[in-house]
Formats: sequence, C-alpha cells, structure tokens
Amino acid sequence: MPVDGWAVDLAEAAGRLSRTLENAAVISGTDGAALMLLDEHADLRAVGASSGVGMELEVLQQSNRAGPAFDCLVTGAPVAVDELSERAPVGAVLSLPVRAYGRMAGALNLYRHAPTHWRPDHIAAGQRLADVVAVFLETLARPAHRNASHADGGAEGDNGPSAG
Amino acid sequence: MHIDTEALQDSLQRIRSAPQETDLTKAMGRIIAAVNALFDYDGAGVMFVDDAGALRYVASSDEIGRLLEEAQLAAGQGPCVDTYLHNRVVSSKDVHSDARWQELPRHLDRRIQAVAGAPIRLGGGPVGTLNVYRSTAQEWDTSDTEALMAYTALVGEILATAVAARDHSVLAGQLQYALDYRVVIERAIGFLMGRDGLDAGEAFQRLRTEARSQRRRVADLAAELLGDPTTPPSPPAAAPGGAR
Repeated sequence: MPVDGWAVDLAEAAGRLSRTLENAAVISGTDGAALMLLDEHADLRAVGASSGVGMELEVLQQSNRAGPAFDCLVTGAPVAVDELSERAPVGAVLSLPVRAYGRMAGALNLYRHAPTHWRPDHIAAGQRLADVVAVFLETLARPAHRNASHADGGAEGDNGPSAG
Repeated sequence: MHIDTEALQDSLQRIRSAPQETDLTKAMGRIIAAVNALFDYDGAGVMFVDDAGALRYVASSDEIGRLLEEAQLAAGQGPCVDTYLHNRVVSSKDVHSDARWQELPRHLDRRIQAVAGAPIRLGGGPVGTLNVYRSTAQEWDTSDTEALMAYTALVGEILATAVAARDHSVLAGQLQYALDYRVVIERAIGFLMGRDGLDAGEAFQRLRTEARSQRRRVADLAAELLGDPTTPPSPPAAAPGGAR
C-alpha cells in the first residue's frame, strides 16, 4: 500500500463506498447511484456505482469528457435529465454536486431505468443526500490519528482498525 | 461490487489535501439536518449509547425532535428505546395512545404523534437510534422503514470510518467503548436473564439501574457479574485533557 495512515485500507474503503451507494439508491427511491470524483489532476473519474449500468453511465461520461456530471461540476448546481438518449445505459439521471470541506469534489448521480420527471423535491432531497455522501467521503479521506495522538496513560488499546 | 479502487484512492487523496477541521459531532449535525429534506417527515433526532450504557440525546433537526428524545429519556421508555433494545425498526401510528408506552404521553409534546425509530449499528450491534416523527397520526409503511434502515446503514458506515480514524470527539470515544465492551455487557444481560428470569429489556434496565446506584459503569458491573476480575479501562474520550 503506497499510502499509509488511512482510517481504513483501500479494499475496506471500496466496500464501504459500495454499500453507501446501494443505500443512497434506496434512500432516494431510484434504481441506482453512481459517483464521479475529481482526482489529484482535477480530472473527473468514474469511481463507483451501485449497479453495472451506473458504472457504464460514468465511464461513458469520463471518456467523452461530457455529460450531466460534467455540467454539474461546471455550474456547481444540480443537473436533472428527465430522458436520456436511447443509446444511454439508463433512462434518466439526476447529477448533484458533492462538496467536501467546502470544495467541489465531484458529482453523485442518481439514475432510473425509465425516463423520469425530476421534481423540485427530488432535486432538493438528492442534494441533501449528496451532502451526506460528502460527509462520508470526508471521513474516509481522514488520516488515522495513530501517531499523532498523545494517548494518555495507555487508555487506547491497540485494538483499532483491522481490515478484516 | 462496481468500484474503481484506483480512482477512489486518487480522489480521496485530493479530498485529504484540503483543510480538515471536522469531527464526528459536527458531522452528526449535517447528517441529522439532511433527514427532513430526504424524507417527508416533520422532524428527526439521534440518540447514542454512552459509556454508562444509557441512551443519550445527541442531535435533532428541530426543537420538537429534541423534545421527543427527552420525553423518552424521562419516561425510560418509548419506540426509540425499544428500537435500541431489540435492534430493529419500531414504529407507532400514534404514541399518545400506544399501549406499549403508557408512561410516555405524560412527557410528550402533542405535536409529536407518529414515531418511528431505526437502529444505528456499529460492528453488527446497535449503538444508537435515528428517530423520526410526524405531527399527525399516520401508519408507517415498508417503504418508510426500508428508507430509514438504508439511511441508518449509511450513518453506520460514517461512524465506523470515524472510529477507525480515531476521531477525537467524545462521541467517537463512546462508540469505541460501546464496541469494546458490547460482548461483556451482552453476556451479563444473558446471565441476568437466566439467573433471574428476566427478558432482555428488564435485564438491561436492571444492569443500568444497579450501575447508576453504585456510580459505576455498566461494563465494570457486567465484568464483575461474570466473575471477570479485570475491569475495563476508562473510555478514551472521557479524559480529553487528562481531567477526570
């Protein structure tokens, strides 16, 4: 592992993100949730999805360097597409900006297989969900305070994170 | 699983490079604030178990949500107390006329009618509850409870990650403590159930009451009951500046 000091290792982080996207779909009442995030070079990349078509939707956007997630990043506002073209892997998508520590980090994409009219309340709820996903990402990105903590009197046992 | 771990790592690296000044308590405020927009309810609150084994108010979306938590703590009963004890969703169409919690209405605001609680789990067991209410009497359907369970599962991922990151909030310290001593507390509950013919709720209540009257922590008492001479150390976050 090239990077140490993460709260959880990469495999565990991936598992947690995968479950979080599945839960995001249930919470939002959509067919799936997908996440595109900016990397260190400020490129928007497909990071994960709750289902295969969601990943497809993202990889397409990543290779075209265009799509609702890109528009969302440019405008900093939600982008709702009620009906995507027939060639698209999903019928409708709602892209919501994800801000971590107040800075744009990427977009959460909620999708449905069928065309959908995204109402203002869908969009408002989606944005709050994106905010909670941001809290999750901030937590995931935090360094573990293993060395930094001046553990008084050995109160902290060494029974911390195990990747199991 | 559809995750590109390399892209995930690169983006986490970028997020990490930004200033970080959040802790779990602040995060919980954002998590609870989102509930009202996400779900079409009138308000929400969260409670977590503390190192004395008691549920404690942590955050709510509004003042009435706070009253819901406090009423249950005052009455020592309610849908959210049961949610925690039984580790499952517990709901009520109208808490003012629900035979399960006859003491509760005396403490409860009339603006709270329908209530549902979902367990927040960490390491496979409950550590707290998310509670939502409506100001009109109304049945809860399965789509309500499924969405609530999904939300508490998301919250559980955040908690577990924060605890793994050794978040220095008091809340994270309490959660770590709950994780470390859950097994001994559960075994003591089982012991009391067998010895005194109690149900799980009664046994837990007995343990808590006894611990409180002896001014000891539940985990200490549980260990003693089981004949374990080693008493658990203090929860880490209880002594942030060594002041204890």
